[in-house]
Amino acid sequence: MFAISRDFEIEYKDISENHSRVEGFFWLLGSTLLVSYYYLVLTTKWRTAMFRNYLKIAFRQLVKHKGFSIINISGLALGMTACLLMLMFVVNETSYDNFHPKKDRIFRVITDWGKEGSRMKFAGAMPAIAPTLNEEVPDVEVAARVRHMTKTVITDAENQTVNEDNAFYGDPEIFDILNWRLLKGDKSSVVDEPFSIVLSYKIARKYFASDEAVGQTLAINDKPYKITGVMKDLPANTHLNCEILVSYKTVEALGEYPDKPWNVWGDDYNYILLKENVSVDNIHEKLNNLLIKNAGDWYRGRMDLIPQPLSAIHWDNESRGDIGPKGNNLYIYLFLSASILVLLIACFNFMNLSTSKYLDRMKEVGIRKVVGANRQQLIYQFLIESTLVTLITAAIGIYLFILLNKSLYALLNIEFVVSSSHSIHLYGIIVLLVCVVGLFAGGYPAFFLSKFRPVEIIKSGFWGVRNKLSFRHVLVILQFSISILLIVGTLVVYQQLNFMKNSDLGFEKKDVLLVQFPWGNEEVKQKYPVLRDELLNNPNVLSVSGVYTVPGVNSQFQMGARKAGDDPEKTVTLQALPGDYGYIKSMGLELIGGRDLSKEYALDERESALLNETAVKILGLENPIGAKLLIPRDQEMSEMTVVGVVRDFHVQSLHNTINPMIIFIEPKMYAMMAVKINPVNPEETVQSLKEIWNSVLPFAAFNYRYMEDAYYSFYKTEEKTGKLITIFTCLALFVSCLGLFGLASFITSKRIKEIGVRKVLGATAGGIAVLLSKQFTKWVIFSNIIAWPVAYYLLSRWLDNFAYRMNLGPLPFLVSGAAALSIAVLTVGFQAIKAALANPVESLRYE
Amino acid sequence: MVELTRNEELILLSIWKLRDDAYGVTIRENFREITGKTLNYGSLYNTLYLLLRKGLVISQESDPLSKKGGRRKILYSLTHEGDKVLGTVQKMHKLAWGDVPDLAMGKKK
Repeated sequence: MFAISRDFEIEYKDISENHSRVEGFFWLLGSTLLVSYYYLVLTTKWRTAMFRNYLKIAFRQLVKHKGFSIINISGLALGMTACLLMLMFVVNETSYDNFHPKKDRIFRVITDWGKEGSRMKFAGAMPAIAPTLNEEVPDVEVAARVRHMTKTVITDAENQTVNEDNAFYGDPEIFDILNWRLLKGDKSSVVDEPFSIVLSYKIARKYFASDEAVGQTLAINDKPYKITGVMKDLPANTHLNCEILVSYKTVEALGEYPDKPWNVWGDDYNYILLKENVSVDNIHEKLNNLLIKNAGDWYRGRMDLIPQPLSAIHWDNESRGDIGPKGNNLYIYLFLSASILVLLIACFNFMNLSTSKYLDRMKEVGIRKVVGANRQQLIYQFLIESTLVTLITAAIGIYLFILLNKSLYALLNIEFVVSSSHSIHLYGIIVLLVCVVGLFAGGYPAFFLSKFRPVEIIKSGFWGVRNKLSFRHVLVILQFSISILLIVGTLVVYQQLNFMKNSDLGFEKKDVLLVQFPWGNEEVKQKYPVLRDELLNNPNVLSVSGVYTVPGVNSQFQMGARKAGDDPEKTVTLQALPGDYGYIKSMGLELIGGRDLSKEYALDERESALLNETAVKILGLENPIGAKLLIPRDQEMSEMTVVGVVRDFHVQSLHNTINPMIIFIEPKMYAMMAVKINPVNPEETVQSLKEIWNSVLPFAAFNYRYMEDAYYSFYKTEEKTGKLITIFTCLALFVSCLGLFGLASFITSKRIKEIGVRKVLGATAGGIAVLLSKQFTKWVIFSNIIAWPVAYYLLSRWLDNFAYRMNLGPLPFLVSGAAALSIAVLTVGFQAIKAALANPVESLRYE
Repeated sequence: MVELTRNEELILLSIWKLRDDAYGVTIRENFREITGKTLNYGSLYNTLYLLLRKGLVISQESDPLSKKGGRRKILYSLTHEGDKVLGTVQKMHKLAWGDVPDLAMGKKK
């Protein structure tokens, strides 16, 4: 799976050239560390006997404390796997397009086009830009265009048609800008002639199996293209994954080059390579000057040609018509910090747990020293032990990674496939992790333990007085702070979700069925009144209304409306909700002025409308009832009278503010039927509904869903966030408990003599348990103090994303504090009680 | 009677043909297939905006696309009005061109 076995030097050169100096260095560092690390450990080679002995003892230690070892190793392995998963993703995302050596000078020209306050960005610009730059602007070393070939149908040797996605037209200068390596063919001539193409190695193999591709012809879109070269496959993390490069001259030959190449934009990606020390602003200005000069003054103020750095392309989610997978900054920060955190926490826990077990071996250390071991040997011994554990952990971690990466990335909705081109990253990360963890987690106990003088050790089991708030304590507090933060986060996310689902949306979403009409079907429109009347015969059907759209269905129907008598300039955009007479009732909307549309008023059928509060405001109607509006209907502007005003309600999700809306009768626009039913016995009602539907409209399928469910689909993103954060919370809690467990056992074992003495003097087991737990309770409270302000700040920021949000009250904080406390007490309690019940005779025996 | 410019008519037609898949890039591509001309993004969005205001077209946001970093595509489809307008144009077209033989093939009558 990973091609790791390559020659050292070739590997380094390859990496530096193809990826970046940084990654090459990384790899070198990793390998050097690895080598020196093992050199260190293995220089006891001349004491092979001792080495084997140490190894034996290391194994024995592991097996002797099986339960302990398992907890320890699994905690660390979990941390490593999580770390690997996240780091692989981060490294891949942040190294997009790193393999171009000139990347700091490479830019892409994008267009920012503005109109009436709505500006749009496009990834493609004018096809005239690159050639003009090449001719007239010396500050630009070279410029080239790349244009996606939208339809690429290849007819292969067996006359089968294959669709390819990654074919692009390109200027020959592109080879001077981007690091596309030609395996066969000369870069100055491969794409010179129209209808000449260069294939990537993979594509060449696909269509020309064992033959030489160069010189042959490939039929694309029923035209013959001559293959003039083969280029190296591009790595996965590039935004422009070109597999077939067609000469740009072909565009003209096909008659697809615009007559006015300065007045059309969007199809061509213009890449420019600036000369050294040229300022980007300079080029920016020059580009716009050229635009106005060649395309006309009309573009001034309306169009901006912006040079976009190559590295920014992967992160550009705004520009339309762009290509290549896009990254999200938020995820990167999240993952990077999370992975560092997780690893740190896992390491420290490992350290803690190991150290507390080492206490038992103080005697062993003492004796070894007495018998003649020097400090160095002791360090080696413990390093070997920790290395063994680290290697086992790493092996498990890697195995888990290989096993789980596909499913975990899918769970997090990340499109990332680990391929062989990632092997370098993986290798580097693993090496780094092993070294860091091994040295760090294993080294600390090793160095620490080997310090003390043997006499002291054998005499007392104590380590001497430690300062109150040692490093170890800080760690556990931090871990708990993070866990509390995450618990609060989880609670708030779900609280906001609930808020959105249950808040007063201004309409009643419960017990409303939405039945889909086949769109545009004339017969349905005719039969609808019959259907409606039959349905209303059922006493469980409270109201029926044909509608175009309802909350939860993501469609917008906009209209330009204005007050009758106003100039057309004063037209305002309203959201239109055409429907039936029962609309307000079916939706449970609240009428706050005037009256509902009703059959009693003949004019309501064509000329009356209802507005919501926002619409009244926007149109500036002081006396809305009776006001006259002009809206486009039946291909002309027709006059409507406002007869009622409804309270604002949310047709869209609570992410957005409410739009101005107009409701009127329009049977031609029914897309579905909203049926409000009695909540008692819904299945029966649905069944009778179905029967009536089938009898009136036998040709149409009865498709229904609850409006509630349709509405909830707005919040898919938040639901996913909720899931993610729950996972992280569980992970963090698990790890923190491990940490606390370790620390508790460490401290308890430290105080075992003290406990023994206390018991002898008459303390009860319960009293001792409480005494021990008190210390930890203090810490957890402290963790809360740290976590709460941070949580408050972060969550307020998140809630700002919603136009309608809950109030951040004290409840989630208190609940999480209590949860953390109880978990802590449980974890520690077990240890405390065990210690309290221990026979004081045993603990005081060593004297 | 709503007057449609040529571009508006062709864009409406593209949206009709594309069914569920009508958004900026696809409409433009379809336009190019029919007319052979490249439609400027500028003209496209200007026209779409006009069509929206006239009530002939509606827009919907698709689900967040994981491939595009969570951005949502805006999909366009015809309203009933839009359907009717296209129908009227087609009728007019048939009346005008229906009895004219294939001019691309042969000579004038």
